[in-house]
Amino acid sequence: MKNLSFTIRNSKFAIYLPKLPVLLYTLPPAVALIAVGVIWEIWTRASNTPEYIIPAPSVIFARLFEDPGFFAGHGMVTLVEAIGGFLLGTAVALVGATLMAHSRIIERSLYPLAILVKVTPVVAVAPLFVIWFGFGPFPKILIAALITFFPVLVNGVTGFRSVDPGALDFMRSIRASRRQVFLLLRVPSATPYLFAAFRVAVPLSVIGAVVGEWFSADRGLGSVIIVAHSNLDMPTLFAAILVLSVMGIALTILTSVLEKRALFWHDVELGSDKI
Amino acid sequence: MDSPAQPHLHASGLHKSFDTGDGRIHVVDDVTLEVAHGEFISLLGPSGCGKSTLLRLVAGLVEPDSGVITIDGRTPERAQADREIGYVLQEPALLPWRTVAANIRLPLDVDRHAGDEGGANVDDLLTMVGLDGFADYYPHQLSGGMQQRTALARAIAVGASLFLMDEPFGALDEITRASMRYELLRMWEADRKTVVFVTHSIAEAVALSDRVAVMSARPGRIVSVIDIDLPRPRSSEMEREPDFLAYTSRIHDLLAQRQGI
Repeated sequence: MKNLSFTIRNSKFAIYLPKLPVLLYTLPPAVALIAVGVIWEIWTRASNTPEYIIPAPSVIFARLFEDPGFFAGHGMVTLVEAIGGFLLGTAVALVGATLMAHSRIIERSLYPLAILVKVTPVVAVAPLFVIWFGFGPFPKILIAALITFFPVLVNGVTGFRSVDPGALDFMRSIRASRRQVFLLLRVPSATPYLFAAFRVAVPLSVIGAVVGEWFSADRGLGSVIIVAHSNLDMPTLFAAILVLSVMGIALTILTSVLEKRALFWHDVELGSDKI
Repeated sequence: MDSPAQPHLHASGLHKSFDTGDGRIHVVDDVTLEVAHGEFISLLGPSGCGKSTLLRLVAGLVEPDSGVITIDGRTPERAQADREIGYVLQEPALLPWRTVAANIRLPLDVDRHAGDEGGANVDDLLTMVGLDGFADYYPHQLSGGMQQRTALARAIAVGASLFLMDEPFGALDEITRASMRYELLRMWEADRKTVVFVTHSIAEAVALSDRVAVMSARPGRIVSVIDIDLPRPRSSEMEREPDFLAYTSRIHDLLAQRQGI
């Protein structure tokens, strides 16, 4: 298959299409997924498992399509909290990583704090956030941010420092300022590391939002799960889980699409098309 | 070569040592060197003889333990700020997210005033290094030789008067390397900027230079400076002539003798 290249405002872009037909990548997992669903369906029916323990896939889908607005509405709440938390956590982490990459003293001072944030279970601090910040979306965003923060910080610091020593020498030989070295060399050099962190942090931010909703919420899929659980309403609970899974997959795909576009120059993304 | 009142590059009593696990290594030992304006000089020696470190000292990338370096009477730091240093490394060290043209433009992006003084625009530079039509290519789409041409154009874009080249063709294959040699000379003949060229290829040093400073390893010293009195412009055919071969075998003997072979 040929790669697509196009030009936008004097910049050349290229989309590297997979060498094999897309079906070869998507068909096997799709077949496996359907197989699991079919076995699950047959098994729950054959064994007469009660709906309040494990509902059949058909029951879960029936519940989902019986009230799609309900799940979409709550899903949107969780999605906004997760994305908001991801953006907040990433922003704070990037500021921290910038400071730490510039000064070893700042790094030594802040690193233990960052590790403290990382090792503290989010579930343990979530109830506190409810007391401090109330029942609105803010504490959920904060929890999602907290969980996003560490991977982005660590990879940011590593990325800002992982510059080509030759390119750094050249920039020093023309007396580029620290700011110029940072913006022209360190930030682009860090993007592969940052995207590696995003791939971890994006699904984590959804977990953060859901955990936040467990403790205090009347909206969002986390609250739907808690309420359904106390009512032994397993079809609703499973439908909410399904929506969360789809959300996680969609966000992961979005991240890797953005990654492919941003890192068109990076070794990992390149095919061999040297002249 | 008649030397003007002030040498372009003056280095005297340079010492530099590094700490390693097994103690201190004296990498540059009492090096004194003068390079005239418009001169092409090579630093030639075996690996680890401190020739790259000497170049980095001149470029102001490392500080000497003792000794003085002046570039047109200025410190290397001052020369950096005045955009007097055009540095070319063994690895092209291009920014892979920038196109060829954008890589060449890097010195101009760092200092916008440089563009006016340097005078060269990116299109002219592309033509000069033979990369017409490759402006919008990315480094990963180019061969090693083309990447190194881009790095050369980037150094020229600085608008410097002193070029410091650290084995610029060292990572290229032998055939590309031999042709790049004479392309570099062709460009150099055009305006005769001062070049300090680090290499461990005897033929390359003789073919390019007005003078060859032969260095020994551990400690890194200049053991001999040889004037290469071959007519310019030079071409690859010259490499088969007796005069050329006399120089290369003389330097070869000198190096072999130092190594105790």
